[in-house]
Amino acid sequence: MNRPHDPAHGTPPECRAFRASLEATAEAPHARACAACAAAMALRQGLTSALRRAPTPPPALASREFLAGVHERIVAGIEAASSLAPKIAEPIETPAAPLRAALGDQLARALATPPTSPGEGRWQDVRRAVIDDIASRRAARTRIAVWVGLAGAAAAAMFLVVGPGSDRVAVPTIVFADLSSAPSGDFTVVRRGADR
Amino acid sequence: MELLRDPDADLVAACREPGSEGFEAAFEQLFARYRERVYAIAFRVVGNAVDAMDVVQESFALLFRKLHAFRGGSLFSTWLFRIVVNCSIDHRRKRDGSGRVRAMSLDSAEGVDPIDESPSPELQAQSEELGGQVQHAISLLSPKLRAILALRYLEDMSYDELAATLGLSLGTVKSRMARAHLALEAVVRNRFPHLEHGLADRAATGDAG
Repeated sequence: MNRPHDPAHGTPPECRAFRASLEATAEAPHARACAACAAAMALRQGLTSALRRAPTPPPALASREFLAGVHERIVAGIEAASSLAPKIAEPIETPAAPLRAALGDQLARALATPPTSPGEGRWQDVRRAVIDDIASRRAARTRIAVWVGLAGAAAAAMFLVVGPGSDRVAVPTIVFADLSSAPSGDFTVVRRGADR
Repeated sequence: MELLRDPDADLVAACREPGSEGFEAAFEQLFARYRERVYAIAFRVVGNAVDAMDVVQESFALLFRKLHAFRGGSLFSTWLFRIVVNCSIDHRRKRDGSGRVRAMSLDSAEGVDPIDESPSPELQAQSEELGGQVQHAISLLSPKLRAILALRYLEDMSYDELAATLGLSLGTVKSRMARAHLALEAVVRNRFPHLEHGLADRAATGDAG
């Protein structure tokens, strides 16, 4: 085995690389040949053995009080989280459970009780109101029909009297005549033979 | 291929309904099953019993609050240990922020020994025996390095399990593990030189406590 390297010159690169390797052990060829790395591996082994030993927990960790403390913290956490969310989702008017039960009870009682009759006179008033309503609707419909009929007849008469005649196009008349007696209206010269 | 069933699946299912009849019994069983393992990891990261106990409470409270989000994509224990590590690191950060302990982080200062400038009196007292001194040395590392060492050696996790628990890539786990080893060895050499031989001797005889 080599002598340990001089600390004044620092750790050689090959030793640094070896120690940084996760597979480095005291049995590796480099460690067998290098006293400094062998010592480092012995230290590492000692450290890892110490690290494997779990610290002794205090007896309080196993006590009922500690467990109750954890439980309390869980419940407090859940309550804090749940008190925020439903306020948005749930309607504000929703009654609390006991109130909802009381309302349900009242509703059941109301449905079970038969309603009292309003009396014959009241029913006659209702009947008359319904008949009047039907009659007034019928009269209104008749009035509308008469007005629609009159408007249609007036429109037809206007079409027959004014409409068709005013837009009629005159049929042109073609007259062949000598230039000495040219007509007063539009005319076209039709030449025949060579220019003079 | 047969998939392994999570040994905690039934208890976890019973714990999903805090108002249900079986909740308290399931909660007690789950708590009893994991409390000491949770405590050990928390202790490694936060460095003292009082804070570790607080982390245990905090972790279990958070666990039940988040249980609805646990879909069973991993083992329950993997999920629980991730919560514990995060709670422990948060706890430690809060303490560091209050100025009680100041440790350099190897994650931000590559190659610099993470030496604590002011070890607390409780750590001094624990340093009376070897285990306490090793814990003291660990407490001088950054919380992330402490966490990976705790999971690796207390829970005997493989690199794949570490990656799943810490939510890291396999490469990151390996490099962090290597840095944790180097940093811890550097701390022991620089701050506890007398430990070096003691640990090596005890390792040779199979007794490192």
